[in-house]
Amino acid sequence: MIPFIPADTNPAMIMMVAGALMVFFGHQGRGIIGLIAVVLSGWQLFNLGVGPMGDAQVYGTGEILGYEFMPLRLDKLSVIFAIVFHSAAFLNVIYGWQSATKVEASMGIVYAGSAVGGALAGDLLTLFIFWEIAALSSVFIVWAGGGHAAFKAGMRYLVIQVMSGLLLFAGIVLHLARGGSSEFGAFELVGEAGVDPVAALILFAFGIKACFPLLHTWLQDSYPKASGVGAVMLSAFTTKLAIYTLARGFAGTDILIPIGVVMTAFPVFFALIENDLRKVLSYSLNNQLGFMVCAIGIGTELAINGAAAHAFVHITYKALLFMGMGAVMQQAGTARATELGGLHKSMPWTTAFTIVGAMSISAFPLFSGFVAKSMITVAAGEEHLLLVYIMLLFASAGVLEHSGIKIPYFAFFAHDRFAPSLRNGVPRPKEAPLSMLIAMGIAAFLCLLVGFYPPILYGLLPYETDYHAYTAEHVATQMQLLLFAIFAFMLLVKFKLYPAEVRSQNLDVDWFWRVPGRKALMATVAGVASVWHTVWGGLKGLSGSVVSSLGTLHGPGGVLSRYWTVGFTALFTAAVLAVVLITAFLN
Amino acid sequence: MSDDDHPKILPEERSIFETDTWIKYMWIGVPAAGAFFALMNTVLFFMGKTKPKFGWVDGNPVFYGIVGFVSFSFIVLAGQHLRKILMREEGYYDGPTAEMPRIGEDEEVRIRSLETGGREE
Repeated sequence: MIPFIPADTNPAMIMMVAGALMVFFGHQGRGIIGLIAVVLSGWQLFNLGVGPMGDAQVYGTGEILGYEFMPLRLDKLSVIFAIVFHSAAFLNVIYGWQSATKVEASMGIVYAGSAVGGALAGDLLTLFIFWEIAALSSVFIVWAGGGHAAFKAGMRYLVIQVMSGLLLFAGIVLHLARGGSSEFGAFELVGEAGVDPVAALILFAFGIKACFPLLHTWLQDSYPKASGVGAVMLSAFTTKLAIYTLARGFAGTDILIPIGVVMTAFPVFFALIENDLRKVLSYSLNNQLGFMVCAIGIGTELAINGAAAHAFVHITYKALLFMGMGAVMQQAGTARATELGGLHKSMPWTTAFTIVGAMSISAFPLFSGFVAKSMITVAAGEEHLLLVYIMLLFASAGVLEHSGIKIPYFAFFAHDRFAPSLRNGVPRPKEAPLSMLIAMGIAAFLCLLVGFYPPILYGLLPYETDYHAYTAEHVATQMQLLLFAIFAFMLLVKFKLYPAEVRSQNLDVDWFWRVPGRKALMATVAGVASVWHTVWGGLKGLSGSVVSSLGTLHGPGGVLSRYWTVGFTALFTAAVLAVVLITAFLN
Repeated sequence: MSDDDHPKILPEERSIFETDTWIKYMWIGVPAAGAFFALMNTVLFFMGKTKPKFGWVDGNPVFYGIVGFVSFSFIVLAGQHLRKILMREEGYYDGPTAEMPRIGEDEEVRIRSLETGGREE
């Protein structure tokens, strides 16, 4: 145990407190505190231990107003996510050592802590609290990208993230109101009575953060607007926390299979035509989430292992790819493919590390993607899901296209736009700063380590497995798929059939609420304002008339305020007296 | 995309990856390696060392090569037509305001923006 903190301290709290403290320090101080916080939190996680699935280690349970809290539940599913969140936080601190702003460094650690807390949460309200902290802390990272566009994207991001939180909260309240358990366990979406609306509400909340089709655009809108450092932070936590919650709450839910398949397929087309390479990576992230969602839908032990393994390796290689593009953006000033190329000549280390990330995500043998992704396709095969199997292979070719080839090719090779002879002798962009190179080097090492020695990953998986990635058949089939796809790329380029990059804005489904939706909203606002002006104008006119009439009666010279003569007063008094007397007489 | 479209740079500015020799090696190496693994899977097939899950579909020794080639080609050839529907000019959503600095900008963000020529997005 750690001597100066209570034995059952939540590792998330260590990171979140440290993240708040980091605001008061300079670059070096922030970096040192960040590293210490991640190491201490990781150490605390190790000390807490881990139980097998169904027999978790539980700490800090208590009851408040009849609600049973379980802030720490450590089984193999939650711990593998907590471990990889620590790994990502560690890489983020190093990567941003020289470049992260105060807000990014501080909120980055709070954000990582909230993801760890969410993964370890054993009850629904604790999950909800960390779910919301993740949303609130991460929006500062989007805003720290700077500029009006980042601010607006951050606002859209915040609305959608908070909406997910509210839906989750509504689902939790309804679940508890009908006598459901406070423990975060499996939900049954479709029972004997049909679809359970409460489970559907919670699934929808998870689906927003997991980027289900049509709910996905917050990711592609916001991540590319963050800074180079910020995008690396963002890439790791929110979506993978959502994947964890799906694996915990909806494993084996059939509808997730087609949802996952669609998620793997549609982003490859958007990534193809996108010019901003960080947006390409955002679509790529969406595509990778699809593999995990599909595996969770299949729901067998092998599939859940595959989802967890894929999340684990994905966090590392996706962070590595975002790091590479962040370094390019910092050194070259842009991440647009139309303005990049030839950077391998002046940024060789960044090039090499990014290629390791590209080969990992493409699932080349000896790289981490190879030992994880295949578990999902094999699980689909074992369940005899032919269409799913073929679609996953199709998506694998898509991954190779956008992340395996497009990212390194357009950033580091393709058209050499930085040659001094083309720019009046202006030197090429320099290699990335040392802290970025160290972080990329560690991430690349991890990709290779898992690729070379998969038992290091398999030992962490939720269920016992005897899966072997390195069979002659698997190597031969995967290499066939990749090499023939690369050959197709070469032919398409040779015959000028590969589309040139174009500076553009490509529409996605968020167009519906950013253009016609906004117009409809503005029209509604104008309509409400018009009605309000009419009502308010009428009220103002009426009140004006009343006040004016009162003024006429009571104002100077008004009937009720002018001085009366003594004779008129006596006559009026006599008249009133007469009326009173007659009334009294008649009664 | 073809070599003709490359900016005209000086010969001494070219790296080994931009030489004709390297490109020639690529044209030989990639299909040869693909053929090798197709052959390897064929041999495994005839030795009974493959475990197809969908009978003749993935039992075909070159099934994965065909899927890779066709999928990649389809994605590129079909996907590019999406531009006709989806492509708009840059700044379509935010217009000139996209380049505006944010009010109350973090000082460190402003400095970083200046260091990178204010071109971060």
